[in-house]
Amino acid sequence: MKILREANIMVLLLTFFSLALVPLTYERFYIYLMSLFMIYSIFSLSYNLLFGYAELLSFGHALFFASGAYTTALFTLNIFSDPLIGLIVSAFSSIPIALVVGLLTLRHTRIYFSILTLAFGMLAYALLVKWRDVTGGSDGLVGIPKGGVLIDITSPHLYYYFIFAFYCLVTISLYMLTKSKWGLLIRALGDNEDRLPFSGHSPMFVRLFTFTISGFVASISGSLYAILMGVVTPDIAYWTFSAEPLVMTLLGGSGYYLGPILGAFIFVILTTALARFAEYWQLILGIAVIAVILGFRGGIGGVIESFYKGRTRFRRDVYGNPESGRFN
Amino acid sequence: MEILRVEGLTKKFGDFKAVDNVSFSVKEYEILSIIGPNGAGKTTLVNLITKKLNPDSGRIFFYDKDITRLTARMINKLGISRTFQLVSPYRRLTVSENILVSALQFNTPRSELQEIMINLGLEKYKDVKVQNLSFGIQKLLELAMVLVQHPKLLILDEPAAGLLLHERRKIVDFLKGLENKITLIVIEHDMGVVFDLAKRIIVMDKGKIIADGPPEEIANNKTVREIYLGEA
Amino acid sequence: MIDQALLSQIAIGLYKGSFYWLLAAGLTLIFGVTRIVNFAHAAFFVLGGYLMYSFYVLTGSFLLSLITSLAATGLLGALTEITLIRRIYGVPSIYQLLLTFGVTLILNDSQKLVWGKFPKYIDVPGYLKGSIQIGAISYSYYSLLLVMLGFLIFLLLHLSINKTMWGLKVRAVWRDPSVAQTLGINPKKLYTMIFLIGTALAGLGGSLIVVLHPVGPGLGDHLIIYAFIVVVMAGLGNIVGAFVVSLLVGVLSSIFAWLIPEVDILLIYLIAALSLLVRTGGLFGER
Repeated sequence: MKILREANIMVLLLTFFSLALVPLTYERFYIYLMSLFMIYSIFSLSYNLLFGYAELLSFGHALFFASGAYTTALFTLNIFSDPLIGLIVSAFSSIPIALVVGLLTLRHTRIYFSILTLAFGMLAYALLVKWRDVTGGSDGLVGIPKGGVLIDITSPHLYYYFIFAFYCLVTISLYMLTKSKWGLLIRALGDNEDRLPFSGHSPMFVRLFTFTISGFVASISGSLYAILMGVVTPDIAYWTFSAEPLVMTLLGGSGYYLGPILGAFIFVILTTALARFAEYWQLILGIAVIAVILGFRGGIGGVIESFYKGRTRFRRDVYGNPESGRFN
Repeated sequence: MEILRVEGLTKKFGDFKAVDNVSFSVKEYEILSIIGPNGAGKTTLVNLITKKLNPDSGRIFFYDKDITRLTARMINKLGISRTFQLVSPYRRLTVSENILVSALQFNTPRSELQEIMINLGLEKYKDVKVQNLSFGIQKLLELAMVLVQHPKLLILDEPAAGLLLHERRKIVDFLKGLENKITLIVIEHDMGVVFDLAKRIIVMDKGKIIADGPPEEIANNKTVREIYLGEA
Repeated sequence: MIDQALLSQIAIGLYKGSFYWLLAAGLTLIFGVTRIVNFAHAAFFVLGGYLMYSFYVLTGSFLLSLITSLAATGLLGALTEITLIRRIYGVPSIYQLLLTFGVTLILNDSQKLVWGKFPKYIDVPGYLKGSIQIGAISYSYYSLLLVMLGFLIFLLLHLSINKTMWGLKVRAVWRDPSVAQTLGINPKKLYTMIFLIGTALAGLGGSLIVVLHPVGPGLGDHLIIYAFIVVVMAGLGNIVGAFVVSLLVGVLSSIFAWLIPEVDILLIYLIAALSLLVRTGGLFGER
């Protein structure tokens, strides 16, 4: 199986294996922590599709996370109480949102796009805060059910494997996307957008495509979050939350498919597990971000790669780093 | 059969007329070269035809169809491909990926992509990222990227510039092999290449066409010689 | 009467707008000259507020604290430019944005470390207390001072850039840094100076706000949005536009908060998004 030789797949399978074992520890805290990790991984992977592959810096990605979370909450609380159906409904309802926001924002040049996404993200936040009747305002919505008509995932083991199933599904599908012709197009867009029309492609179409898929996956992570927490509040739409997948991606290395997952792991450990650090995680993250920009552009992924120089295949290069050796 | 007709094309940047009321037409399978001093408007003309820039006035016809209003992408898909003087590849992608991206919309079979890579000597670089390749190789890649699109009209912007002598010969020989299969417009400074390849030469200066004819006629044209006096 | 209430909302809006102006002025100045979008700008603003608080507690002198804190903020900004920003002038703009974002994170938590989690504020100094009657509205001396100061800063900035030798250098570098270099102007020193002035302006704004509005964690994150909205709507680098738009945003948000508090911020972001969409060059066009 040629695909198994891919280092990415190997590492991914390793994560699958380790994650699958977690509930066997019977430690509620670890189960919760790893659930969060998987959710953030999905969120960051969706973000990196936009940022690392297409070179689109969005400050409004929380919009999709929140739309997934709130739609799931509203659906399961008011229409039909089942987490799986709720997730599916909200995932597909993110598509029209992505199309509308995408069509409006993607026409503009890079910096303006970034700032526009910031504005739209905050627009969503304002909507969630002000529309008390529907969204519960700043108090949010509570009592999001884990037990549903079709499936019941109330116990930690069950909801963990529910999240795990989506984690596996998303990480594999997105990987296959990046390896496909679509992935090639997205990378070409990020690399040299101006050439695209002369290669017979429409930059706007590729941008919109990427944006929509990215939003779709992000909303799945939001739904999972709502189900896990049982509660949603507007702060998941605030722009600082949009910055989190960005930081995770940078830390892990935006040039690598698995970078965001690595970054998500570091982030979750830093901010949740190490209580002493949790207080001042912004400081640590800030230093890490600066370190990445100034020196370690490839993030931690880049550091790891330099240890494996010459032995890896199909690693995307990162800015400023020279060719990493021979190819087999 | 007329493949391209340009009528009254004009492009101004502020007060500066980069392309000034240019009109000409090209027959199918012609090999035409556009020459002229730097700043004459040659590349701008190409940018107008391929819609990298929008003309201020004028019309462009492709097989008698008015393409003035079409986008760059539509024009590319209709059958007009162009290369860039200062190459513009997808730097962080590999050679084969660059070629693949260029060919995706044109349904070119994989075997042909292989063949073109081999013919241009790019096969051994196929998994190398373009940013790590020399300029000469990148120019060959530029050529490959347009050839795989099977264009009806191929516009090359200084395909030989920056190349070593043997690399130039390789390109010229290759282009000669395309005779009667493709219509070619070549912008060039290298007179050796021009006179070797072209059956018709258009000379531009200050945004206008000042001469248009077969190579011998152009070589003896008084105005042209004046303009080129002192140039290599 | 509605008229009076409206007028007083406009008056409030004017001084709120003056704060937005002090925040946006430095941001747009820095961008215009160095082409760097300084994400950390609001964090410097807030830093000014914290420093003002501490100096005031220490010295009891409003004026002295004001001058010291704006100078300190400016110096820190210059230091940031020298140690960090300088290294990234050539890199793609998203990485510059990200670096300044990193600085924001560091500043945010450093402020929490030094001053704690609870907001700080100071009282209006005795000699500035009180208000005057302008027509039917009563305006506090302090707010009046703010508006006048904002206008003064605008004049100073605008005139010095357009009418002085120094301003000429700034404009030359603004237009084309490499050409300016051949003319003997040292862009490096100028960039540092611009960062110094820009962040000092932000620091000034922060120092002044701490009297009316407590300064605490999260304020910077809230303000940066307004800063971006103002600067982009006015056109990145456009100083006159930034002044006008800041006041406009201040006045509009006041009126909305008064008339329709249920949707005030929603309307602001909606209008911002719409204006951004309508003119990619902002309302006044880029300089």
